[in-house]
Amino acid sequence: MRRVLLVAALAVSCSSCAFMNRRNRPLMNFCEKHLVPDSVAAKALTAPVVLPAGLAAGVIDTLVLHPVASIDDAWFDSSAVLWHPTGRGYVTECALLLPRASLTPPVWALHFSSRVLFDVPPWPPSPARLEQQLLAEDHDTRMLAVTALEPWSYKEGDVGPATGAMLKACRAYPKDVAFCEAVIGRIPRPLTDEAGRYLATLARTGQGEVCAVAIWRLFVDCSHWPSWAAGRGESAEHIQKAVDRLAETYDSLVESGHRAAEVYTAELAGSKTHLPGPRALAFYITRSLARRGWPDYAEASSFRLQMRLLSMTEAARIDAVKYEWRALQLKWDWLDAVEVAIKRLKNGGPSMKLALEEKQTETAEKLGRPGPGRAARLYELTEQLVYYKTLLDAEETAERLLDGPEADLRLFTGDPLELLKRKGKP
Amino acid sequence: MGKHVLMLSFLAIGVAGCACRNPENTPLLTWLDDVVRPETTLEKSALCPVFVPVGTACVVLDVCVLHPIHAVMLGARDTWQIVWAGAKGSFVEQSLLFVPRIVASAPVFALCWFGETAFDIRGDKAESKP
Repeated sequence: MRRVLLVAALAVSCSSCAFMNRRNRPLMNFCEKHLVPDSVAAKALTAPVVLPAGLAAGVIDTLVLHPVASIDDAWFDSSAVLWHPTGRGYVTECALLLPRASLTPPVWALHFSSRVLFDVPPWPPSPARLEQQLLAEDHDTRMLAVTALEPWSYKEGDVGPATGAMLKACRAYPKDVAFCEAVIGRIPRPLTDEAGRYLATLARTGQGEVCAVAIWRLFVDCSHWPSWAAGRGESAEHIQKAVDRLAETYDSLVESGHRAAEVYTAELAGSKTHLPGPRALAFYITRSLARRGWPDYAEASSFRLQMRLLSMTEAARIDAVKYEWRALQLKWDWLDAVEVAIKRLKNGGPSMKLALEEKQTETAEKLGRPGPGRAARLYELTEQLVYYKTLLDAEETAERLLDGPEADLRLFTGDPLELLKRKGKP
Repeated sequence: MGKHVLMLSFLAIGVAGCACRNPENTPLLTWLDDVVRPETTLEKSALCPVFVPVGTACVVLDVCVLHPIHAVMLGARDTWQIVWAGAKGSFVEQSLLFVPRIVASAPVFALCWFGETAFDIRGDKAESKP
């Protein structure tokens, strides 16, 4: 018996004890709020009454209130484990009735005891109850309710009503930034149209923590494997819609000049280019950056996006040529090609510009009509086009350097790393 | 003694449950699922007293009789593939391996039969097909 007690005590102390979470101490929270005075002197004076009362509240919380509150959650746990429909048929369900019924009491007891002892997240309340909790006037009550929610815990039919309740709470308390952040971070997946519009509006403000969380939440719906999303009842179209929504938000941020939010969106897209949704978004953002002449404030993120896309997908090569990605210019091949061109031109050799332009045009034409099923040929042509483009660019740079000031030429023909460093690109 | 029997029966149910998850391993139950399809709650409630014992009996029959018998064929097939099929080498090498193969057949068959009876081995294969 002693050993069992020791093991139980060790287990409680080693893991998260239920008592340590404020959510599991309602009476003690009440005492803290209503019995503890603000001033130190008053605290000292009332301590002989408040401390025993707080202790008694803690004991009642631990032995009565929290266990009573855990009864229904333990039932939901048992139901999820044992009573989930098999989807096979009526007779199978009948055959499972007796084993399920006989296993329910021990499984419930196991979940109940684990919930009483440890800080296991509760099941989400019904959307109607959630709305009631989130609209509470007291900030602490609202925060307790929202932080108790596990992200993405609402499923199927509850997603819409729960999302509605959360949006209503955010609209009711727009100035409570911490609360709005917590709510937005937990808006169920997939986003409803209303939630998407609301988050896009918040994101377009371009400032503050709420904007950052809104952008992140919009990004969450883009960044999953289609197969994983399908398992949660989300279609590939849903991911595409989420990508389009975030792309529109990005455009809006660009137009309104909210650079920090714009760069944050680009960084998010660049962080998950191995997934189809973020990759599509990264292409979109890179094209936008290219069209705008690679703005300086987004240089780091644009370079990162280009390099990640080039390493992740061959499709990036096409874009790299079409939009003249800057990442191409920083490749060692290009630097070598410029040096070769400089040497040739210095020694009185001919310019290769015209010949390279012809080859580039010829290859681009071939690339435009590769024919069905010519994947290998398409890849080969893209490689060739990148090669000619690099050489041509190197040729033009060599001519510019030879016509320009001597200092630039010296700088260029020196150490390439030194060159980048002097340009402020460590 | 009673505790041991209870534990063993729980273990047996647990292990058999793995194979039970695949409808192919419970042919009788699957057949009844296809045939008996009550639509309304009233029909379901009315048929419940009949199909709770019938369903339980079907599961017992499937797990203890039909599936183990079917697993004999599957175990033999697995044993053939593991021990006998794909033999390579000269006639002399094959002759030398003949006796060890005969000796190995029985334990390999026992292992394969147990695996096919207790676990949903084919189910995994079926799910991996595109």
